[in-house]
Amino acid sequence: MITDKPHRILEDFLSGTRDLTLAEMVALVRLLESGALINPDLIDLREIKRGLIHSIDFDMAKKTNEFTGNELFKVDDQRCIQNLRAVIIRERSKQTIKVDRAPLDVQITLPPGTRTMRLIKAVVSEKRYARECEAARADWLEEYYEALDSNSGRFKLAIIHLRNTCLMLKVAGLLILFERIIGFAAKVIGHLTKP
Amino acid sequence: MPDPTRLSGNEYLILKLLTTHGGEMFGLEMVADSNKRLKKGSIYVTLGRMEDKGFVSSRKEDWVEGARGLPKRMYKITGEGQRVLQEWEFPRFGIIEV
Repeated sequence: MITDKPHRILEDFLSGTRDLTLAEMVALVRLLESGALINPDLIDLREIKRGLIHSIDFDMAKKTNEFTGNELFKVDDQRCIQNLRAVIIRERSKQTIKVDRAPLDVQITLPPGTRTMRLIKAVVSEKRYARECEAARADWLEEYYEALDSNSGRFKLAIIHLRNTCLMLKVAGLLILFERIIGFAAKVIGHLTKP
Repeated sequence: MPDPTRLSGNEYLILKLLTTHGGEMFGLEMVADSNKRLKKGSIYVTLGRMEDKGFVSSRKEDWVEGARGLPKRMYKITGEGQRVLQEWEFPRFGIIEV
């Protein structure tokens, strides 16, 4: 089982201060390639026997008939190190691209406010959407990117998101509608629960 | 001709800002220059109403390659807006002078 951070283990391995079992190495490579989202406990060592490992070329593994996954790979195994370095370089270059796009949240796939705008577009008139809502969203994105540039924390980004969502609903005239619906629901619940 | 007495406080402030600035402004810029008197949540509703009245005109900012975010909507005062602003300001000073 891998308990330390994958990159740290690899650095230790490459610097010669630590040996790795094949199972650990497979787990590391998978963690790196998956963006460290896979639980190493879930890795099935039987896959090694079936030759399903494509990420790294384990010539040493093929030489062993009864492979258990506990053989130690040492730092003098040059081919193994070369492969690992290639994985590391590839993963680091991917990370650099991600960082350039969104320094604080690599999981962002949609620009902020996309879903809110979809909802608003379905409700308000086209004229109002184009003139007022899109203008308000441009301001939202401006504020968001400024916050990203100044390395603001996740908390501030969440505040910006929340505040601008409310503003968008207000601009679209939906906030008062939601308030009335909630007020009406509260009244109904109060009436129903009345002894 | 629009009734100058129908100019609300926010509308007056927006016309004044656009006149002082002398060019086009976008909503967030007006909010920032208004010393917290204009609110983000109401500025675009007010600007939309003023556009309907013919006090301001707007256009979408030109798209620049490599620019991030969305193009902003730029507003500028119209001739009608300038006339209304003058008419609204003139009686105020007139009353003070009398």
